[in-house]
Amino acid sequence: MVRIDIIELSKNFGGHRVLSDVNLSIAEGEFVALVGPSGCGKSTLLRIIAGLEAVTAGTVAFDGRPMNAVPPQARNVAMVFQSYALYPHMRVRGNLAFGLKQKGLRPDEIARRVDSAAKMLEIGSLLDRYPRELSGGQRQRVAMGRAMVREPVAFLLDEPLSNIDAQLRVSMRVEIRALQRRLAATTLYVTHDQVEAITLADRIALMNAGCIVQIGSPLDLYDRPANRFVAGFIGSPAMNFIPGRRIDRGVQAADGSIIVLPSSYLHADGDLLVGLRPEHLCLVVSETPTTLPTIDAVVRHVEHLGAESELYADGCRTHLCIRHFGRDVPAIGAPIRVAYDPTRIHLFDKTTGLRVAESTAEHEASSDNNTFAGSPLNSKEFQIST
Amino acid sequence: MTAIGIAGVDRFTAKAGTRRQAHAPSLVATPGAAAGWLLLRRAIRLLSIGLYAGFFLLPIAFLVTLTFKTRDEVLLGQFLTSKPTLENWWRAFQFINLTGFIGHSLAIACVSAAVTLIVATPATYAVARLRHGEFVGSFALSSFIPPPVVALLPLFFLMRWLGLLNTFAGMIVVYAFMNAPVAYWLLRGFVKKIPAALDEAAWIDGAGFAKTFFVINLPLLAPGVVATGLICLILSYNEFLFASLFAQDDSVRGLTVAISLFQGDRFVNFGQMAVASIAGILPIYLIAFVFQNRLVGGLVAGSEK
Repeated sequence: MVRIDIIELSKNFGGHRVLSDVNLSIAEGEFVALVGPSGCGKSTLLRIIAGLEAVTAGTVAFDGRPMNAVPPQARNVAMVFQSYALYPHMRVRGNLAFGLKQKGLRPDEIARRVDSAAKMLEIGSLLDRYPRELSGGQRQRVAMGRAMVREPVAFLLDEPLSNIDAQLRVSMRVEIRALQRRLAATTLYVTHDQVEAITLADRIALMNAGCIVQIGSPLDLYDRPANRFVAGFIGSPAMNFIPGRRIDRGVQAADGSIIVLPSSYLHADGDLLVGLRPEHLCLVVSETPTTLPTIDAVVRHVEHLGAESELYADGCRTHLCIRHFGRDVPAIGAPIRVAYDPTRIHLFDKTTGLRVAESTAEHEASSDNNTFAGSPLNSKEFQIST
Repeated sequence: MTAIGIAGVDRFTAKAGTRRQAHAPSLVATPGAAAGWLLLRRAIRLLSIGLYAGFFLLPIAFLVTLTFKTRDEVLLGQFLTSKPTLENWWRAFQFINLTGFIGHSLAIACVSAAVTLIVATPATYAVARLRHGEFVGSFALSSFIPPPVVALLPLFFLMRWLGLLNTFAGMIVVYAFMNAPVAYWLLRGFVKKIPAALDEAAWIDGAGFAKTFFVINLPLLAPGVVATGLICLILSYNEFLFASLFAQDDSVRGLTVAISLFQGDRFVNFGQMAVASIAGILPIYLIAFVFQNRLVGGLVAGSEK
């Protein structure tokens, strides 16, 4: 396995800049996910690492060795394509063996590797079938097997689960991660699904418009998003954003209501965006007074997901989403009170979208005195009146 | 007829769907009317197919009847003969070496089609897939804009200078490169139909461009190659202009020129000419009949999700 370094990489297609000064290092054996909306350049970056696209500026290096001029045939990477790209006129055995034949391996070694990969991926019974005779999940396994048998220096996966049904996607995700750990493979995984990225990756590189916006562990991006874009992209449902202006001990929203800020944000000033995740908002319907600050809202829409529900409400002159544990929700059009813990607030500058840095001492103190402890189900404040 | 008429309107407006609701279902629902309407639709369909097939088969049918007519009956212009005769059949094969000419045409057409495919298939892949020299397509097509007679004299002098006049090799070279642009445009669609991801997967697996073309693309192009080869074969087989000038004696002449030999100084021997035509058509019909299934692509199924 190798360490992959991307240094000041730029790529133009015609006059259009697709990647701008991208810097990324993937350690040996690390699993990095490239996430971002469609058109952000993540697949282009992957293809450049594979050698399928030329570089406009910058360097791609494997273990410090520049690879810009090295053709894809000589890079010894393995790629799993979004469309799998299995050779339709070859049986599964032929698909797995093709890369090994190009390496000039002996037939017995080829057979050994093919059988070993087939056993690991549980596709031994499929070796004599053609790709057209396989299901989507089976084809995905064969594509993974074709990558594995070559024992490459790195695995490059381009949205391999994007067209698999939701149930199979979860199990295949677990298999891919288990396989990567077993092989200790340097892996770069491209996806537009942030849930896949968060559950699979050691680190996530979130891209937007050809740039890497933030790199870090999944929980880093979840807990401390660098800007509004990261905050809105990571987490499902997406974070709520309430625009307002800094006054007194909080931010005044468009309808005049005050969002109370924690002491770590009291130094912030000007036009701001208050970010609160749906799972950090709590529905308060009972008449029992709460010690937490609240927002008044009106229910617009409810989605029942089984054990929990998602409420969509209008409050602070904006649309809010509240994740509620349970099925007992108010009716559409009913006025509600939504409680929030100020220490869970993310604050962003409204103009630049950048995260407002917290005052360190106050932030640590307020974290120690976190009043939002435990599940809302345990608190009497959040019992809905009957 | 009312039920049939309303059912007919319902069918024609089915896609727009704007007038369907206006029809009372009970007016269409009688079994007798429905059966009559089905019968009429079948009759209309058969008549349309018959007219379409007749348009193409009638000349062949007329050609066949010509072969059984005497000279006088041919001049009368009747379709059917009242005094059928087999004289034209044995006289045609006696008058000229018809089987030899058909053999020449088939040999030249088959070899030239093969050379066309050998030249055009990798060229089409390089242009359409690897995107080298995309102007080649337009340049090739431009050679078809002027009439072929424009190339006649230059080719004649070139062939004479090369010593290829009145030779099989000369005819093959002329037809092979004459049909290369046609082959490029026919194969281009087949090449573009193969997903580019297959090539990229092969490259990442370590295969070079040549191996990727021969091992991955060529098997998938087989239906297209067969179809293109067949069309180039037919074009070479039917060609008359270059054949009449470059094949100057019976050792090289093909069928198209041989048919023209039935035209005498004072009359045209239509009956024997028709025999030569029918005999010439048969090999091509048989080839197309044998290879018709290969023309249907299906190998790409299963490569993509």
